[in-house]
Amino acid sequence: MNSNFQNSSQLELQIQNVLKRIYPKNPITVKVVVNPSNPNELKTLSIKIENIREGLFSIDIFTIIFQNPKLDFNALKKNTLKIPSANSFKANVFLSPDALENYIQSKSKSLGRKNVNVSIKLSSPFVEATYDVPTSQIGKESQNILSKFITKSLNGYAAFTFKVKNNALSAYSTKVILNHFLLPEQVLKYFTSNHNPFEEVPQIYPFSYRLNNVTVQKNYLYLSN
Amino acid sequence: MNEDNLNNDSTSELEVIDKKEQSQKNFFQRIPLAVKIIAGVIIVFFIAIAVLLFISYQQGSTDNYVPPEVEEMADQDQAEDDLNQLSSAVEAYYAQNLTYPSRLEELVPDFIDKLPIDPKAKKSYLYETEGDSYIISVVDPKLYNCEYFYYENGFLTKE
Repeated sequence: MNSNFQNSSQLELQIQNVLKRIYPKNPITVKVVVNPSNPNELKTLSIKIENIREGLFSIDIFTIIFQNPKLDFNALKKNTLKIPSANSFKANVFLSPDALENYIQSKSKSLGRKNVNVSIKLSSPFVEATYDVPTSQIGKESQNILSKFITKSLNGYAAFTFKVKNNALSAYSTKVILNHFLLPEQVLKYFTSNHNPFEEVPQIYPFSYRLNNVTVQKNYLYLSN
Repeated sequence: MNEDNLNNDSTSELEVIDKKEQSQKNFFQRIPLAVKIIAGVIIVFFIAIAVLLFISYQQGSTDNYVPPEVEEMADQDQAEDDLNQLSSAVEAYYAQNLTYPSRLEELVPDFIDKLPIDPKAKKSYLYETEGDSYIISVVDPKLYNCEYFYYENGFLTKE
């Protein structure tokens, strides 16, 4: 299966063209490294797609790196990317603070919530958020739990850590200040256990992967399998 | 005469004060001990509430809009955490640039603010790359009672 390519740059272009049909407006980079001892064998195949809008998420950078992939060249000729096997692969998803803010706005819109203002900052190992949300825009159950602390609006600060398992993203609040009050741990525990996992990170077609690691880096929330 | 008058006046004033004090004393003496204790408890309770509210309010000020402090770790745990963070940054660098950094310094400032220091050796961690693989190691594994203590291509070896 891994034959029939004249050189790596030609293969890179071929794969890029296939992906361009799916993501016509996105910058795409393809890098192929051939096994030096066997030119018909691929050592690595790396694919990077930028600025993908998928569901509620704006993914800044998506990269997938295959080790010793076996490509289906017949499918490639028909403009389909199929990688039936590989020794291993690593999928990487990068979400910037802007992407996280956009996600919150999109999620709020999808739930019919208005005037939700959240600003995100990454401070490894925490994601920090300052927020200003009208009380009427949160659920009745949450309003009851927070009744001691809320007035007309909810504003304050929160520091979170994240976990991801099988693409399902969970947030754990480690410190929340609401309307000038530091929320007690029991309240944080309630929200942590009742609202997690809060979202499924969409997979980027035509690839299939399960994200299980998340780290907060300087510029991005970095998810990988 | 005048002196006598003065003496009389001051004596009567003293008596009035004395009587007032006595009546005050009597008033407090007349309050049952149980009521005094309850009143004391209530006052202490309200003071405690006021102090708690004050502390809570202070904790919620915008000056306190900072993440919680990360607990200090033992050297071995710190080194493992540092290697994990560096490995993650190297992987992220690769995912964005499709090549590994030639030196750890290339991770600064886009991936990490500053490079951590090996807590035992007090030197930078060691890093090597051969194009499609990398290894990050503590300076001297023996300082951690280990034969090997490194991250290679995202996997930790510590033995």
